Amino acid sequence: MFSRSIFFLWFCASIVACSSTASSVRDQGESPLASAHPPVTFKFLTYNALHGLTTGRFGVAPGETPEQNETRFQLLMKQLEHERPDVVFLQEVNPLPQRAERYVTALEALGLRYRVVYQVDACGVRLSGEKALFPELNNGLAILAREELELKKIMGLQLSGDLGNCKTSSGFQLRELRYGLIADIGLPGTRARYLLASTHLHSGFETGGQFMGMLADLYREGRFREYPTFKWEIEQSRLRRIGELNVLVRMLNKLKRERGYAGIIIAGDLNFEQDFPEYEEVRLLRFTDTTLLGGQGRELYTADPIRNGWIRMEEGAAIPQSLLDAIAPEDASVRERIVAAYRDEMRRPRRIDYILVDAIPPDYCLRQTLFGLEKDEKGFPASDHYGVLNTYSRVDPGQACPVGS
Amino acid sequence: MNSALKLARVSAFLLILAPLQLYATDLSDLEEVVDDARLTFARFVGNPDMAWLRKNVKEAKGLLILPSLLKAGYFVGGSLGKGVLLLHDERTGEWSDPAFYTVTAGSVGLQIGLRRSEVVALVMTKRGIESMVGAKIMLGGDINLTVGPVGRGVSGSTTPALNADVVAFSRSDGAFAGLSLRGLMILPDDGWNSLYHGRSTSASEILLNSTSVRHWYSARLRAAVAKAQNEEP
Repeated sequence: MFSRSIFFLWFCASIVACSSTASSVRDQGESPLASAHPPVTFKFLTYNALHGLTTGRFGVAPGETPEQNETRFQLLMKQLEHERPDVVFLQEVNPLPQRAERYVTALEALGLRYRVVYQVDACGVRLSGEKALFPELNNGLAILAREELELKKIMGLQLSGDLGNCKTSSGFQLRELRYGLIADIGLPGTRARYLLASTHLHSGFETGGQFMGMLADLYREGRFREYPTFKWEIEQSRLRRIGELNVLVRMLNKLKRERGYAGIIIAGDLNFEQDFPEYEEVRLLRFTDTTLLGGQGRELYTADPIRNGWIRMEEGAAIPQSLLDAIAPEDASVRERIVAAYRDEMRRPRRIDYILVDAIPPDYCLRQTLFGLEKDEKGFPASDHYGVLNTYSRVDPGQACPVGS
Repeated sequence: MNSALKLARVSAFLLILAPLQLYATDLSDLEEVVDDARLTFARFVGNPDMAWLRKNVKEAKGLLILPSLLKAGYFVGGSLGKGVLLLHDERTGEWSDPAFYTVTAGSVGLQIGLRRSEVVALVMTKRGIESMVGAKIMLGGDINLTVGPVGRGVSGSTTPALNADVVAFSRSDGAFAGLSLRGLMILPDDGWNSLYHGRSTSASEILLNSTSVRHWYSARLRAAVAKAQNEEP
């Protein structure tokens, strides 16, 4: 009887011990970072690295030769070596974990020491390691940070998608899944730690206000009768991204409250533009688009078919079936007008990659620029996206930042 | 049995309660209900088949949103879900902050199925509002309840039922269904209301002092409701 009680006590104590995980990041001992000098400059970069796969209705296959993939990788390494960002938020890193680890070894060969954490967000069906329905696919998110920043993964948080679960070497998905990769770092000269999140939100049928306005006008003229159905499809895509943002921000705020982080940085391919409701959602969630702080009034287009050959190649892509279905009952002239407007819409440069912050570091000025503009000898950059590079420069207290930063 | 053993058992009981405390409701659970209520409302009001709801939301005096209602058959007394109630202040034209409500099954033998549903209900009368603010009520018992019409051609010309205090719409597994809400008990959860606002407060205070009790996190829900109310159908 007594031994049963002892076992019961041990069991209860174990539960208590396992439950007490909400320790403050300030309780984790003094880091050498705290006594280091604050950096003169530091750089955050977000970059969709382009997985290089083609996806069809029934499968996934390589969309480029190994040589083309290697050329893109080397071009990216060259630009990372030049910019030397302190933190890199990556999306479309494929395959994981090999590609993430290759970033570290390739940068180390250039004399740059980084740590990496990652989270798979598209795995198809993977039983273990190489045993997979689509062996080439184990795509996902990663965060690279200079070694001294003590990067640690906190979690891979599923943001949407109800059927599936992707881990590093196993998992399954019957539909699209979206994740947020949450990690933390320290910064020199402070005991505070910061939460980082790299994410790639839902990609559906994204269209801007001008195209939708034109369709609404046609509807009011009685010429695009299926407009409400089509609009609803667009809105569902937007609501999905809003839901993903909600899940991510709730978790980040909870971690910040419970563990005492100094700030949150969310970065990634968010698949919405400044005139979309998702952008207003970000503002109401009390995050700031750092382009407003450091973009110097210029619009920095990260998905630009005019300059980026990877997107230009997609210009002749098929019209989405939902749009074709919606315009099918219309006269030929209306159909042609809508298809022409859609083609124009697809040629329009967009800004869909962001670095968002919930607090602005004092005593630093911010300058935001595009990253990854360099092209290979055939005229192609390393990805279909340009990255967003935030460079923070320390100023003396009271010293003004240049206009636009 | 000696006293040491008794002490061990009491200690064990206390120890087992400790982790339960750690898993108690926290602010992010409440934020999740607010976020889900907002998305549920947007999914209802944006759907082309919800013409009547879109047309009549501007007439509503209140809005009850249950983003995740567990429909468990013969379930008595336990919580079937959490939701929020917002009131429209006709003097200022503004919507109140959401007040948290708990839904329970109120009667023995209540048969409401086995699935999870989302519910949006328009409170159309002063009587409906007065019954719901701060008090426990039974839908279909204390107040008149009717199921709202669904369809593209159904708009303001179709009145679902004269004198209905509440017009409810529900969705299960992606399809709008005429789920019966009769017999469900709705009661304010002032524990949650206080936790959310960081001070002692009540559903009545939140709903009837629409401009003085505001939480920044609710701004998106309030904005979504106001937008739907002001938008041309």
